[in-house]
Amino acid sequence: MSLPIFIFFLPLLSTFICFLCVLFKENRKAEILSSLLISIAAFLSILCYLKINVFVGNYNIYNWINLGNIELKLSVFYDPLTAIMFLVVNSVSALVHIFSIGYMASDPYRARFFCYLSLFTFAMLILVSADNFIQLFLGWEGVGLCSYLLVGFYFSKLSASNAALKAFLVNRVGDFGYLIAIALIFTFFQSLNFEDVFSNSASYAGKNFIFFGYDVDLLTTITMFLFLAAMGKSAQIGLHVWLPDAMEGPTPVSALIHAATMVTAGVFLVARCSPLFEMAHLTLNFITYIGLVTCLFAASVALLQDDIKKIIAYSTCSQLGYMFFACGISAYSLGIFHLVTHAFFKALLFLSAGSVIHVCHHEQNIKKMGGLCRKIPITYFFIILGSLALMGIPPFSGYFSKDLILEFAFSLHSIKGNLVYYLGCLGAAMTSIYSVRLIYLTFHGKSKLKTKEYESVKEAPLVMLVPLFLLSLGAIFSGFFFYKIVKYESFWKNSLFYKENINFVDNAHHIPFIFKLFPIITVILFSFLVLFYFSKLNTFFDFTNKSFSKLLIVIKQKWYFDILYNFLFIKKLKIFSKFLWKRVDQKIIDGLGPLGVSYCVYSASRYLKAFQNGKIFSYATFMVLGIILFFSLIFISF
Amino acid sequence: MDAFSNLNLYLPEIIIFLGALISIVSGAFFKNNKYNKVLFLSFMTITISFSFILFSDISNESSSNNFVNTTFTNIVKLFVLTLAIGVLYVSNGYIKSNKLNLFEYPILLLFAVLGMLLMISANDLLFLYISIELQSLSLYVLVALNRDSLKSSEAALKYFILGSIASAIILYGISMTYSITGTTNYNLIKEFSFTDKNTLIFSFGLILILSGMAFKLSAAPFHMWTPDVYEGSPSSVTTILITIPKVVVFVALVKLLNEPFFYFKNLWQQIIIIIIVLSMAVGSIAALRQENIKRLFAYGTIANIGYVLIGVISNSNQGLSSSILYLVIYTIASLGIFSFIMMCRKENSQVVHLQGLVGLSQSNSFAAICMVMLLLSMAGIPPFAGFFAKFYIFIAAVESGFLSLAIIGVIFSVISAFYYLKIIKIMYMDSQEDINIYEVDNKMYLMLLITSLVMLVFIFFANDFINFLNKLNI
Repeated sequence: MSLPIFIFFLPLLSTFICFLCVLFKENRKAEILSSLLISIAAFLSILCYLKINVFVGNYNIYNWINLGNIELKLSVFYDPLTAIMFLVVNSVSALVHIFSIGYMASDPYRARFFCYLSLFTFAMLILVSADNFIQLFLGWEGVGLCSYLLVGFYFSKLSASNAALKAFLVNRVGDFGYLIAIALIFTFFQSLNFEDVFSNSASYAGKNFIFFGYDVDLLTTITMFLFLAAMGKSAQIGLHVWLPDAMEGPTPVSALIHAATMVTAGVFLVARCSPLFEMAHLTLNFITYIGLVTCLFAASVALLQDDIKKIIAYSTCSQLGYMFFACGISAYSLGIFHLVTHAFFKALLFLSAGSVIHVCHHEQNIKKMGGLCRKIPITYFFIILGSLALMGIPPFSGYFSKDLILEFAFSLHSIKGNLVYYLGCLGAAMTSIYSVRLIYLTFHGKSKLKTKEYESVKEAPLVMLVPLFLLSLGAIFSGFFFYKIVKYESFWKNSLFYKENINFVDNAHHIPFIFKLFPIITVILFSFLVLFYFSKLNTFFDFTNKSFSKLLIVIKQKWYFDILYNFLFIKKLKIFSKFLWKRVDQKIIDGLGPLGVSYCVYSASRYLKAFQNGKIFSYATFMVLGIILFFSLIFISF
Repeated sequence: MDAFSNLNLYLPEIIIFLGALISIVSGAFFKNNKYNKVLFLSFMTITISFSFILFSDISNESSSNNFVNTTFTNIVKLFVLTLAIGVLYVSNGYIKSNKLNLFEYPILLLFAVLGMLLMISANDLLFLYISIELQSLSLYVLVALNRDSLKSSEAALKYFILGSIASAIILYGISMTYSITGTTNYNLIKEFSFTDKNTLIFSFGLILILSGMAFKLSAAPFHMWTPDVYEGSPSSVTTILITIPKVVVFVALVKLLNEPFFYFKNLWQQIIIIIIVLSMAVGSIAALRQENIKRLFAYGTIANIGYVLIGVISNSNQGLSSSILYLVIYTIASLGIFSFIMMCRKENSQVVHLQGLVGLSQSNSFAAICMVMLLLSMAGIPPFAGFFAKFYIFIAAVESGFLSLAIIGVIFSVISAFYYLKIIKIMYMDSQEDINIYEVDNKMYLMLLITSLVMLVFIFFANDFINFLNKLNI
């Protein structure tokens, strides 16, 4: 068995072991063994990544579907893109597993939690190692399912189970797009394997077909539907509503699923299908603008949130916007680069936030914290590291990826590029504002915790700090470490496709120096602004200032998305589904179908029972009647 | 008669006959423990007869005889003898705990088996009639075995009177066919050249014979005796009634239809279709409201006979072999189910009511699990054997153009699944106040285990088995 296949099956093995542990209620064994197995997987993934030239290939596991001209294999398609995703998924997952040992220590059902975590990791590996659209869909749905299970891990809590349901249902919308895309691809390409589809994509460029009576461009339609799926998974504006609610899940889950891996599956999908997206300019533009809007929108909402996890969740949403507009300007490798660095620093932020929440006895409101920097200095340090990386301050990893995207956008010298550049800088400015605000409210100033609680706060256990430390290494050094994936295009070995052959790094380096400096300066400027004038800004944010209060309320209400959706879809759907349930299903279908028929049969049995009266002469009469019936047949047949 | 020139042909039957006689005489002379000794003798008799059929070549293909042995009849005989041993084995505990250990019981069973063996090989209408009578008379007495029970006597009387009517009908039918053809031998009847005029009378005769046979099979509309008799007779006898005669009468019926009545196919096909639909309908629907376990399975039998007969009308070797397959699976499952029913005792009396099974899953989980497998098999749910039985039957029906019949069969099989599942529901889901205590007899346990295992593992042998039957040329 070759190494990638071995890595592929380790999380499955871990899931299985944890499942047995759930049955035998062996919490300790579950957490140790699963952490160990995933750590091995992470270690091997790094090894594979370093020796990538040796391991690249398509490892076939199983002939999955053989139906007519559909020939699909379950395989580990190990190319550079998959290698990077393997590394990110397994290493973040391993650290989250270890962190959870400390975080979930008091939970009596944590074997189940580790089972889900490992299953999620396996589903994610299925997704990234697919060599066809169906295996990708299997992983896509698998991670959705695990996300549902993990967000609703405390299923006895109503808000948690509602949030899980919301995440699942909103993702349905995106999955619907994916299914349509699969159907369209199969109809026109006659294959669902990436290799066949991508090698033929150029020949389909510019072809039209009739879609619901409209003459539309084929590849644009397909990519639009694929991007709809990506929007659902990656919480882009419109389909983002599930992500903040998903913070109901345990914090390690948020770090793994809602920051580092699952939500980036949309970016991965776009990068994987780059041969299709490159042929559809309209879609690329659409992606760029959706990414920009999401980036600004989410960052603006994050400004005024009070829940520490929700701030980071909106920040994730906003950073995903960066990745998408990087893809939108055809810089897929930059998008993936940002995905990797973001995975590390955002997981670090989430886990540190988890650590804060853990030591504050599950208090999540940052307005009720404060002054924690003296109590938990190590966590404070890690959060600062994560935030610096997030803001894009050199030399932290966020700087490398984010500024590269902005610089490359500027180097395009197009309206789209300039728009990306300036709005991206605006997003970065807002990022710095909410990051500093978060740190300031949580760690500085006077503590708003009760004195007794404040006194009892002490640093998280070592098992939680070690993953933080390792992630902080990632947050610092992943920028250097992965720089080669953008610097040398040869690294990708055709797993990403570009219409025009451009070296992004070279282009980005040729812009005027002032424009390279501009994002950093903006960020630093705004950081200091917030830091020094925080008390004044605080009054500004307190809705006392009349001229801004309306806008602030809108932002505070998250731009009314939830309320709008509730009004537009949910209420009407509920009425409609109640009609279907009560009237159509219960009255008509059940009434005429199962219930009606069974009632008829059951009453018929009463009549048949009545014949059985126990009297010999009536029995004999029936025999004679039967014989007469048969005699009559003679006269019919002759 | 040249029939008796070769006694060799009859040897298995003669062994049974002699064994029965010896058992009677010795039963009269034994002082104590009569039942056990006679039971042992009967076991020996059946075993000797069994091994004789198995190890000596007694098939004669010359079909002008009254008595024809073929490979197929020999296999059926072996199966019948196996069932007889199985029934004797499994009913032992029941007989003793209900104080029915009369030495007549094995002897009567031996005579019934004798009649059955003769019936299987019968190649002559009169020979058939006499063997049916021998079998039926023994069974009438067996039903009345529990002399102290009013129900048993009532059942026996009903069975006797209605059975006599059926026998009379068969005999009348035989006389009609004889009046036309002048012979009772199957082959000679088949070769007889009919004219328009005598066809009519012959058809009447055919219908009468068929109706009588349908009575013995307990097929609708001649089924009315079944629930009463099955309920009234001791469970050990019900086990006999529900399994062995069904196989034997079915084989005899198939032979009748395909030899003497071969050229009247258009007529008997219609009759059997009516019988099938009525049997399935009555068996499935009337059982819905039954609360007595044995009555419920009596109706189940009626429905199953309907399915078995589907293979007959499809008129191909494949159809017949699927019918035989169905019968084999049905009898094995019934044997298991009735050994379970015999096993269910609480507070020194048999459980007769379905509600008596409440909480069985806790008090005797092993028996409950086995019963679930048997019931699911009966309901025709994969991967149990009953599914394949129904599957092959319906395939045969579809392939010979009786699509509508197959659809009706599927519908009724859904309905009948209800009451099989209802038993499972009672055993597993209904709440009970007191935990019932069930007496356990190892023999019944073993039978329950074997039969349910057969239901479970049949899936691996389904194909081989049906191929084997197809090759037999029934």
